[in-house]
Amino acid sequence: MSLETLLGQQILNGLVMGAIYACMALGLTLIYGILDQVNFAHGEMYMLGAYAVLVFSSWLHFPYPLAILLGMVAIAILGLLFEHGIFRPLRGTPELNTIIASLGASIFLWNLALVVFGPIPQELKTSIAFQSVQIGPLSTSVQRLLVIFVSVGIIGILYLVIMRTRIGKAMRAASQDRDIAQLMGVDIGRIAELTFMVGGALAALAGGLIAPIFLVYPSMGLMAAQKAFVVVILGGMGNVLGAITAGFFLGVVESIAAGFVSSQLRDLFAFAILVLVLWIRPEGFFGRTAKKGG
Amino acid sequence: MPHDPRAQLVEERPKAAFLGDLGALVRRLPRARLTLALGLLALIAVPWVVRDPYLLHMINMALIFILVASSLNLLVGYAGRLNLGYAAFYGVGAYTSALLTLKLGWPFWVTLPLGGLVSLAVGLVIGVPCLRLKGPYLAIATLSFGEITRIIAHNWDAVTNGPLGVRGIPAPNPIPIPGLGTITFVSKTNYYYLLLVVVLLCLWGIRRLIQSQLGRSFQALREDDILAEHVGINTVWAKLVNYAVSAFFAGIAGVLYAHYIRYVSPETLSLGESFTMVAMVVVGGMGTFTGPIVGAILFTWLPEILRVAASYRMVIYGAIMMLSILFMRSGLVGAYATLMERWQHWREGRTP
Amino acid sequence: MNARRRSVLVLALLVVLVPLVLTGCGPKAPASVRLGIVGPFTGSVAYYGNLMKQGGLLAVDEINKAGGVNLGGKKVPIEAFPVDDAGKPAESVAAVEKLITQDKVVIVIGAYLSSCTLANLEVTGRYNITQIVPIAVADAITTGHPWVFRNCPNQSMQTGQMAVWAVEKSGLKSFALFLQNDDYGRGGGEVFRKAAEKAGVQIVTTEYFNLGDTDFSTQLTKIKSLNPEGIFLVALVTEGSQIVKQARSMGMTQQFFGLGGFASQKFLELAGDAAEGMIHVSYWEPDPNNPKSLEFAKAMPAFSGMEAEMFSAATYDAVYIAKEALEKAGCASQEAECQEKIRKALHAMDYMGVQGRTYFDEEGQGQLCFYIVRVQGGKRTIIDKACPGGS
Repeated sequence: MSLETLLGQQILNGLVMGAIYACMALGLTLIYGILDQVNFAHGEMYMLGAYAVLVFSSWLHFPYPLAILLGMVAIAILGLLFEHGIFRPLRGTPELNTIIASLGASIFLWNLALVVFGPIPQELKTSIAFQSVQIGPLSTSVQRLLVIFVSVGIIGILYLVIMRTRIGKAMRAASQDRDIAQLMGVDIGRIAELTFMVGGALAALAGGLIAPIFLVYPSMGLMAAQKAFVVVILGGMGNVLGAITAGFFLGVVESIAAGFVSSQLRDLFAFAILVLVLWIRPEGFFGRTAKKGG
Repeated sequence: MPHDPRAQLVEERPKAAFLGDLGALVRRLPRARLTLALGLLALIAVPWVVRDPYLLHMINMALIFILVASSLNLLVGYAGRLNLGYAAFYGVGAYTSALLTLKLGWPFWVTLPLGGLVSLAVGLVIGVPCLRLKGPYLAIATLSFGEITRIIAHNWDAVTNGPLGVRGIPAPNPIPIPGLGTITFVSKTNYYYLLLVVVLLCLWGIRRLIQSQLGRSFQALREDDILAEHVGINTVWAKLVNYAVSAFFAGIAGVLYAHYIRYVSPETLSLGESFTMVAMVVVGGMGTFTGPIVGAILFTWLPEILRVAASYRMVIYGAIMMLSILFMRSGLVGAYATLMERWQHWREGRTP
Repeated sequence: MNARRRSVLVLALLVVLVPLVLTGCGPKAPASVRLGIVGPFTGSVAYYGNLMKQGGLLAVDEINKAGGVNLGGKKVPIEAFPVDDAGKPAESVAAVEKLITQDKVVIVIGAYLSSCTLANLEVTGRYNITQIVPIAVADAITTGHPWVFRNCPNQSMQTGQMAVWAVEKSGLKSFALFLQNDDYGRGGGEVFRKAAEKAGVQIVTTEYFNLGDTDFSTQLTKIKSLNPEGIFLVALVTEGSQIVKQARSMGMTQQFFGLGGFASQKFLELAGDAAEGMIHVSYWEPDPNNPKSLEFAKAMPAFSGMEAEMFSAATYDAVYIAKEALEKAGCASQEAECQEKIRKALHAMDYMGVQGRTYFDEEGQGQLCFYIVRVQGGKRTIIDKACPGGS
């Protein structure tokens, strides 16, 4: 295999993970941008999304695309519960509180999944998952291509919604200045609900798409969340375009670094990049969206 | 007393500070002094009352984590600087002492403070880049540093022995007492006394720090650090000292742990450990003196108490963390104090 | 008394009274043969820990049904104390402390993970209690620890044999190493490297992955690009099954070689078709040459509902070996004299069990044969047998 082909292959692999990171980070950054709150249980939404799709598709035998849709709906509802149960009561109180409360929710949820589903990873079988596909000299599987295209598609649709529709405008207004937006008639409560539902649905999508490639297990949300946070910071907290770009960027960089430098230190790269960014330019590559006050 | 603008920034927490006034109480009321003496006597008598070595083991573990939680409380509770990678400081102290005593044969009594100092250095290395970070940025940065430290411990085979960890860590060197023989520290009873002395000393140190001028500026950091700058508090200095002291005591606790369990591994630095430490402080009562003590005892004994419901244990942890923030903002200690006050009022209401 | 002083007293008394209340006062009087079984019954490897536990409990059940352990003419039943260590070394230490000081066990059987075993053998060493290790493979466990015995092959033994088989008997000339990034993986890699050198076989690359990783495409892509004939994989079931699946889906056709960790139904379930053709080590198979193993294969599901696998087989044998040793020693107590007799008995033992013949060398390392198997038609087929002393 020539160097270009190897590089191309690693990049292709990286794009798959990048798409997942982008989906996860998008949800997180929306929540932070609009509501100023951090959801440390975001990884669990990803994990529960994967389990939901597993239940719908492997246990209840719904077709895979329907299972994904249902999974997204289910986790959107979970997002709603988060909003009302944890984030709304704590809005306005010191940040420490939401961080710890959502951390508690994270520990609660992934251990609950451990008890309910067991620690053994489970398989999400679809008929097409492992079929090989050749694109020129590069080979990949159908499922991996699906991950890239579906995520890009959904992200694209979301981006258009945020930029072009009224709801999107309301969200952007709220992310710039919540108080003034409220004065202008934006229903912050509604927006908050919507944001959490969208974030949850995106996480569930990521989980459901990736599940046939990897396995589904209760602690899968932990590392995913950590990477998502790295991406969010890289792209600038609250910055939608930043999150998307940084997501793909991290996926590809990780893949190339692990492939050409050392696979032993793969996870270290993400953390090292994070530390570097926090040190040199905490606003991320693209900077935060404008916010009131400090 | 001249008007000290800094005093305005310090939020009064009378509800949970009852034990804090102990010092004043002791000076004023001879009965309080007696109670304190009784308390100390009770602590000294513990190994004679508790005969079961397994229970003594649990008490020793609780003591170690009381120190951990109290020093984390300095960071999280008093200065409001969340740290999700605290196990790194603790672990660094543990590994340092373990390796120095095992591989270089240095005496425990030297490596104990040394472990604390190395942790202090690491604390500064991590603390300096984190100085200007707040909220979620700080949380994620500290989490990442914690993970980086763990990954290094896991991969640096030559030094840390990788995932298999460091075994056979020696017990603290015996102290010869002229005329009475030597005190060894292999038995749990003797180690209990060692822990009692060291932990009480450290707690006393933490208490003094909190009550000092510097300690009050920590609280100013928590409330509003821009305002703190304006009234003349050197926030950079305060943050650095806060980090350094907190890391130092965590390192000491780590050393005590290493020479008690006689084994350290990268697991000791895991995310789960860091989260548990935060839970101890939060559920016990952030920013109070007794809160972390209660939290540490609770979370050290909970796994044993819950052995029956073993797989539900972490579920309960998570639920407790969530619920305490939502409903008991000042932790168990605060809830208890509120309860006591209410009962007091009720009693006063009943007396004619 | 006001609320403040009350609180101080409460706090002081808390430290003293709560532990007493929690677990009752005083030690319990021994009236049976007490065996401790420590392993991960919760946590990420709980599946295997529970297989361990059930295998041990089946043996205890059988022995007690037949009356118990014969100590100097009297038959004493076994009381088993399974304690969970959740796969964490610090908890394993606490678990064994509890077993020895509270439950007063005479022999400790366990653990599953090498890291846990290395940690908790310090405890059994300190109290001078004999330990039998049925599963953990790290070499260091028996080296220099005269109170520890292991009734399964260690890392060097199984890796050495598998490596020799791969480089000499398979006919393949070039290999890639894909290793778990810890002592298990790196140790295994070292052994293979030495064997390859001796046989003059080429190693094209060494790649690593971390426990918990799910995406191996990067490393597999690199391996694929270098086109070795065989891949030596040191991994556990979860990651291993993913690796073979992802490799096959990338169109890789190399021959996979693996260690004992793959000898589990779970691996076959998770890897599915991708496991086909893989050659690996297995400590225990239902072997027509060993009728005991066939009986065990039937008894396990009947007793516990779980399939008979090597984890249960090893623990089952460990319990029986413990029984034999106690009977030879004629005592069952924690006292040093008795423990010495138990260890003497273990060193002199030559036991035929469901794992075949077991005897211990001077270090306490069990000398057992194990199998080389190939996955054919979704099942493991024995293709060779490796015994100590090479054969």
